[in-house]
Amino acid sequence: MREFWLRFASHRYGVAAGFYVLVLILLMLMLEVAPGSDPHDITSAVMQPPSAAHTLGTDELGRDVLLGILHGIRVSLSVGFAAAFGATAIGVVVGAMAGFYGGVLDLIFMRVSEVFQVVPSFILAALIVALSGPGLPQVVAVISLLAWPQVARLMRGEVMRLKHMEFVDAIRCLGTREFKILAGEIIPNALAPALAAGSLIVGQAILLEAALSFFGLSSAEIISWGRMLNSGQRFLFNAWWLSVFPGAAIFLTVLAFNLLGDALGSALNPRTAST
Amino acid sequence: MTAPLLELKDVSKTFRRSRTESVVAVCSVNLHVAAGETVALVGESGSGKSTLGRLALGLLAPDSGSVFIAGRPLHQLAAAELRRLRVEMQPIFQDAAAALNPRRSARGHLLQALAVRGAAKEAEAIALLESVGLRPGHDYLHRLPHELSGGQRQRLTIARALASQPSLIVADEPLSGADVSIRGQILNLLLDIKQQRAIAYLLITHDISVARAFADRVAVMMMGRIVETGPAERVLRQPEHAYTRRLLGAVPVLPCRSAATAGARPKA
Amino acid sequence: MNGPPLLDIVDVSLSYRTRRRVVHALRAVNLSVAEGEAVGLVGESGSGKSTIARAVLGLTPAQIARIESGSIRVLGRDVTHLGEDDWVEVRGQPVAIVFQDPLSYLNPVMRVGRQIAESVERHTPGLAVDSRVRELLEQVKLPATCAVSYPHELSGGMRQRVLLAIAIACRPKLLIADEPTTALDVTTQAEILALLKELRTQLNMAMLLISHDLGIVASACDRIYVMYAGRTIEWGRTASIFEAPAHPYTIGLMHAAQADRDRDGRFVTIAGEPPNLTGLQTGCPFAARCSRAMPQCTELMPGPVGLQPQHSVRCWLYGAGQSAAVATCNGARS
Repeated sequence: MREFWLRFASHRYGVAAGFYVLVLILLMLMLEVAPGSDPHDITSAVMQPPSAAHTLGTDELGRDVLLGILHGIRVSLSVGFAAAFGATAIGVVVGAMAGFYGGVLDLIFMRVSEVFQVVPSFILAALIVALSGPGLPQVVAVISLLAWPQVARLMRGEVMRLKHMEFVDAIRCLGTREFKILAGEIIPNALAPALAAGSLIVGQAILLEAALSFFGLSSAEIISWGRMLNSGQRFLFNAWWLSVFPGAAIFLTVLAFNLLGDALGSALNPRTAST
Repeated sequence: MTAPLLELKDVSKTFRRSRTESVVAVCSVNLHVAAGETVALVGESGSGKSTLGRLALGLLAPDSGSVFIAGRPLHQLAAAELRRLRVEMQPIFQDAAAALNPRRSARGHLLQALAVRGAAKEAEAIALLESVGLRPGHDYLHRLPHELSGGQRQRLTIARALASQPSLIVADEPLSGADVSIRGQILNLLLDIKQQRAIAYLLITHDISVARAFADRVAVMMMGRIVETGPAERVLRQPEHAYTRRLLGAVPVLPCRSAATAGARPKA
Repeated sequence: MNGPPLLDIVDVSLSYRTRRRVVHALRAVNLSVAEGEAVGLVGESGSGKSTIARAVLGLTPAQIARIESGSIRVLGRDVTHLGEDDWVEVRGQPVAIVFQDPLSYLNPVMRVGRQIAESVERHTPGLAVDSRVRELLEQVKLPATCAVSYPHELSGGMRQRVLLAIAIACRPKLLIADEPTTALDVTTQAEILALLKELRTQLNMAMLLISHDLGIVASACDRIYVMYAGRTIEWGRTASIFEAPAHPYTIGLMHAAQADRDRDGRFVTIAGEPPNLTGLQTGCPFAARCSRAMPQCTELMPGPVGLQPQHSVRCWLYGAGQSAAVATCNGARS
């Protein structure tokens, strides 16, 4: 474990990204405990540029932009994590079994995953949301369904590479059951790339949710960065702060998760210790 | 008359490379290893010797013929019984790095193997490490494979093979990965094990000198068939088959004079 | 054969530097190959033998490899700090190289005939390519029909012959063979070594044969260098070295190669582990494993001592030698 942290610590950008994400989580938790002012509060200070009173300005209804961004963290992070978790869980299991057992199972998996990869994600997401109504669970489900093949493919590739290695045969000679071999020996060694892909999915999920909100396909009561962008784009030239800050929030957060994913991927590999 | 420890009767194995092509790796091979005996299986790449090793370990099932362990037919046993019996034969592979789980410490590997005999205790693991020359055992317990040198990794795989107290070790090119200067150490280790524990060996190698140094009997393999077998002395001194002669003749001989090298000897 | 040596490596020290550590791959190495000569270089992992092969042709990784001191001369020309553009005048002709694993060094999607042709076109433009390719295939004893095959369709021995054909296409003066037979079977190995001998005679080509296998080097080379941990510790005529090996490491290697046993039936071996090349080292790198080490062995590296006109060794057992310089930091001169 200690080694993992040491390796992780050597990736400067990954560490910075990790701090950023921690800060976000902290802010989110703080707001749960001490909500402070309501971001939905409509005030008379309409369309104010950033100032002392309103650090990031206000929108056309007088709502504070900073408060909106802070409360939007919750949506982005929860959608991101939930979707990534779902996709990774499904992907790891399906990919490992397809890679290890091969044969018909593998064939079925390949065809099914191709279906999901070929479908244009945003359109499918919009369709489902339009049919079932806006709501976070739907968004999470859609993203998980669309993203699991990426993870599964990586997992399958790693498992296929590992299952031919001699240490698997050595364990077999000890009389270990096949399933225990897959779970105890192969999967732990195959996880690294899959987990790295999983963290990238957080970024994808945040973007997709933002896109859905941007097109007005999410619930109006929920504050999200995408929705703020949606409202703000009309005023792009007169009130730049309404678009720039939510946009920056999305950009920085997605970037952070990507960097984190990279750093995690190489830190999880026991062999890439030093050059 | 007791059955030999390992017996392969008329064993064949073919691999399918594509829909039209298949390769006969092993063809009607008969081979046996008696308890405590060392049999060297000598051949070049493509001779099928590695495949034969895997058949002996039960990692592959033969297409025809049978594999017997202590007289019991390996592939006709129920799964649970098979799992219990195969512990009698343990492997040592050529690439020690690939033969170890990269995420498991030395301790983890040994405890896993010791568990088979119900002896999964750390003290046992330390004793094993020291018996293969990794001293003090305590220092090596928590090391991961990539933290060990090539020679140390090979010793660890040997320790693991010994942990379950097998009657037969199938060693597939155990020295090929090691530096020449380390080979003697590993050879001595294998020799000690053979003498102290009376374990039988099926030693698979392309290196005649290893066979010469170790084996009681030698079987020469070419293109999936065994072309000659017999006592080591006889086969290596007076080969009968043309291929064996060719194999022995191709090994470059060192023009040393043993008297000169016997003088100053490095540590043994 | 007198005259300037084809290859002259003088007192070369080379290290690999990364952010985390420094690896001293070569330390004050001296090596030469004369015209038409076959020189063997014997060593194990960490000895530096492969580094030398690459350094001679400028194939060491540019970012991290640095020649700290000394010089490498090819046909009299100083190539130690040659620019990338100038290397084309050295690579292929007059110096060619073949490596250990032919599959990695052949383009998998190009027919081998085409790959040989590339070499021909590159070094002898204007020559009738097809007939030259056929000529080369004949020289390496491959059937002309091989030209249309892809590398994966050929056996290991045949692929190595293709590499040789590519190498000799430009009639090099010196062929560096880095473990050319390690990946091959012992019978194929014998064939390739015989082929190398023939090619050398036909083309009056010198050879630097690098291997960990004493047997190969003994049969194919006139002179041998033995390397350990980046240093040349013993060198001279093959016959002389095998008749009376001087350095304890050389003696140990010979015992190991023959799987010699001592009186108790145990294999004679060299104790300890292969060397660690990071960090500074004073004195002889073999001292830790040597049964005959003396106090001064860990302090200073002795200079070369000439045991015979063509047999030298660097070992305190035989004296301090000429130009015994003090081991200093940075491993520049030791």
